[in-house]
Amino acid sequence: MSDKELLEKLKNIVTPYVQDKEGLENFDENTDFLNDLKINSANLVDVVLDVEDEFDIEIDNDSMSDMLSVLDAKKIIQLKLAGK
Amino acid sequence: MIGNDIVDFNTAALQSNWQRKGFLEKLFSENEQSLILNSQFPERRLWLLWAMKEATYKAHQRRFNLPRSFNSKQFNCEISAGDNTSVFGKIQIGDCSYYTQTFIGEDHLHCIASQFQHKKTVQMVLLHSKDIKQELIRAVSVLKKLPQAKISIEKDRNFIPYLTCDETAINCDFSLSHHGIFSAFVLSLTQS
Repeated sequence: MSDKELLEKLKNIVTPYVQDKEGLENFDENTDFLNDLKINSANLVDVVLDVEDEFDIEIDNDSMSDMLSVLDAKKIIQLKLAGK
Repeated sequence: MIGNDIVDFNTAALQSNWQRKGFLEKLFSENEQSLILNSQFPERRLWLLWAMKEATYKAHQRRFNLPRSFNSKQFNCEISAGDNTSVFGKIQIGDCSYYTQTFIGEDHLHCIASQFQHKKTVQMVLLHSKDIKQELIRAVSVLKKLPQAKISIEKDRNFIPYLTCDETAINCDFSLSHHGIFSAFVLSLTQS
């Protein structure tokens, strides 16, 4: 999967939970789920569950703890996909 | 150190589907899950435990100046005592213990966590778009005898908020929270 494709999928996943839609306009690796998109912390678990479904991977607790930005998520997804 | 968390029940019901597969398992221990599922009001109990974890996370993060982490499961909650309007709890993370008191209203709950039991604090819950930051600054100005106009709220490299007066950091233990139509702060009246 290309980086572009992965980021596109990730953008679709987070969109329903985004409180600050302006943050989506500049969606890239540096986008922070909390600071830029203002995702409610309780919805971070939905992002994790949706990522698991979309990519058919399992995200363990340690990885979940670190999933706070697009770059974090991308690294974790790539790592889990490589281990499949 | 102290932390606080506010939950707007109506907003929570719109934002989260707590019954979706995996939701409880990702956030709560088996013991906490049974506290939720065996409760007469599972959804309220869920947000109570969630707020206990969030409020404690804020106190713990400030205490050790930790980077952010989404690690709710590491915060183990126990409910010590309480009734329908006020619940006392104890939270363990690693070797650290924290105490919580949660005030439960019709449409929201507000949890305050502290390293110490019986910590003296002032707290405020505001509705709608009232400016909670200005209210916090007003309270700090009275407590510390500093001019209100010179106090501002900044964030450090770990995104932990702190207060400054004339660009000098004020030694002050506090926490802010927003959710739905509610916002809140808690401010310690003693140094810690």
